[in-house]
Amino acid sequence: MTLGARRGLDFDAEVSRGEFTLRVALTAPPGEVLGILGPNGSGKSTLLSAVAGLLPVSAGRILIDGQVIDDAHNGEFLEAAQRPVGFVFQNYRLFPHMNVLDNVAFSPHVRGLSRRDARATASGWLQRLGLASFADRRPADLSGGQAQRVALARALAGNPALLLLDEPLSALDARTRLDVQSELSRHLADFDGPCLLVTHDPLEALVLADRLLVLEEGRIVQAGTPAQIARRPATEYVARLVGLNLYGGKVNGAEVRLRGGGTFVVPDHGQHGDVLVALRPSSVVVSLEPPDTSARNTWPATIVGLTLLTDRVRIDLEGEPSALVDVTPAAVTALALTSGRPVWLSAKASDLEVYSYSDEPDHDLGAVRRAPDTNRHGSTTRGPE
Amino acid sequence: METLAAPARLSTRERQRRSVRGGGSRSVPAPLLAPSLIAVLFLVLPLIGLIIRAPWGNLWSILRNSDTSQALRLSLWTSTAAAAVSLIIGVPLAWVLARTDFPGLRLLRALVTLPLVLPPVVGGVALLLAFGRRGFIGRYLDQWFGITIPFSPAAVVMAETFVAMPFLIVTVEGALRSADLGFEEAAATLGASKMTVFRRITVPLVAPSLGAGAVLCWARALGEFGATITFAGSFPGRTETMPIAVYYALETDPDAAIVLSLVLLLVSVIVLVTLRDRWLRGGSTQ
Repeated sequence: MTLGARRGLDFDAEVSRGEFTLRVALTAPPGEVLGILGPNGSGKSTLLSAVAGLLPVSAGRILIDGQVIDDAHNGEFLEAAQRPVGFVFQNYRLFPHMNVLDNVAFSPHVRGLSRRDARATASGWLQRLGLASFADRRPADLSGGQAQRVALARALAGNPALLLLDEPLSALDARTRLDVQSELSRHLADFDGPCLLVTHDPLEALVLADRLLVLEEGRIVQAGTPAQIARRPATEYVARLVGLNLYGGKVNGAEVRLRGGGTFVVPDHGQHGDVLVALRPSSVVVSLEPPDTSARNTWPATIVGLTLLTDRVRIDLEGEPSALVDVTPAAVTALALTSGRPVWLSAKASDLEVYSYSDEPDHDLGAVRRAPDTNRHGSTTRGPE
Repeated sequence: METLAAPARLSTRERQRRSVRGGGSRSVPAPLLAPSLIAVLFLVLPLIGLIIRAPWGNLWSILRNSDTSQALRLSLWTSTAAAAVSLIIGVPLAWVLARTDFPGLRLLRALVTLPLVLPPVVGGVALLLAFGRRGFIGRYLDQWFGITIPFSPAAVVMAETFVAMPFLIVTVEGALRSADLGFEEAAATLGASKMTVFRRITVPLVAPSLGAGAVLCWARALGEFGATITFAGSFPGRTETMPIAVYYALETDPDAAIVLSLVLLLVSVIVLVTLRDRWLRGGSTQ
């Protein structure tokens, strides 16, 4: 039974693994790269496994191009081998006993082509991904970036209707990652079907995905374009990923009473009710004396920690409200900023992004309190503006 | 401060060794040294005896003697056949034991490994009771098809397989258990059926253990005595394998017994060398 032959992936299901339950509804039309961003244990890989048929759903169903591939209600289940799915695994899982050509020829061959035709198909893919000269190599003799491309070629060679990528770049070192990333983005653009890309790396998600879902504890907590999510994070986790301070509070005209203590003056758009306020760490100014400034928000705070990011210092401050603030290393020495030192913070009303996020009413943002950003790129604020 | 004990002398060589390898003294305490020496002598002296007493002069002529070479040939082909049969039916069973789950699996695993600890002669008696002319299966084989197994080369192969196959099964099952299922999952997502996964992914990935298990199984079959002599007897040229020939030759022609033993010793050494990296270092099968 199909309800409207919607093209692409249609996932509306629950997957149970012991105590953990993933409950997600999502669709991905052909040609879209849907990024799934979430911390470890949020259910990202479980989602991919369910789509690939490595795990059955416990409720709901999954459709590809309008055809049921898994339906817990009537028991229909298409085995993994029969699903038109290409899976690029986190550690690639290239077959160590086959050379690159045979790895890529594996899928066409087991799907019915003769060995020779399968190898011809594989050669075509290797050519396309610039891997022709590696055909005879064993996976063990490839660099991380090459192995990643071979894994992609192997998944694509089976002519899948749907592509799944599990942390495609996480096994690479930071240098190759950037090269492979732009290349991967090109290849993904060439792929006709929907593509699910799972990652815990916000930069990867922002660069590669057309649309993002943020997954936490098995639920989607936010969906939108990378730009929307980078500007208006819905949860503390997302805020930390994109490098923003996030506060929950009640707005009344131009004043937001923050749930964790303190108030903000914001541009008055006549709003009322529960809102989130996002504040860029670089928009906050630190001074030793109460600042004489046009900024409408000034408050005292105490430094509790400093972290050196690539070109700036992120200061963790406790106050009402607490905040992460980015300053230059020069400012740190000039103002003698050290842990325990009381300072004044100021922020312009116009720098505060105020928005409501009613989809997630029980999320307790009163206790928002960010740890120093330990993101290894130190560049998470580089989201699209 | 208490007076320290008088320092011992540390040779330059020992200093060198400790600074490179780390660790403390390597000297063996006397209560451990003596028993270990006795153990070594106990294991090695008999083998030395074999080599000393060997009739090196007529080695070749004894080996070419028809009885000896017959036994050698019989032993080689039956143990190879036993290893082949074990591969054909034992590897699939190892897969079933490692990868499936059903009620009674534990019992089945215990049964399969029973011949490892069962005295071989008991295995021979059991085979006789099942496949002998009046055995509960052998009776019908005889009545319906006119097939009698006992005291034939086929019985030798069966006895050897019975005793040796568990070695292969246990080795391969262990390898299958510790194998990375990720590769099999990947193969499934690429469209491979379960049988294709087994053939093209699972088996090649455990090939080293498969080889080791097969060699171990073959060596065990080659040395088989108790089950074979019980179930297959000792007809020269038909069922008299090397170990049985050694046993009988000891009474009639001790030189031949020694030569045959030397051949078996040589084979064992070759097997050990083949498996050296798998069992002598670390003891893991992977």
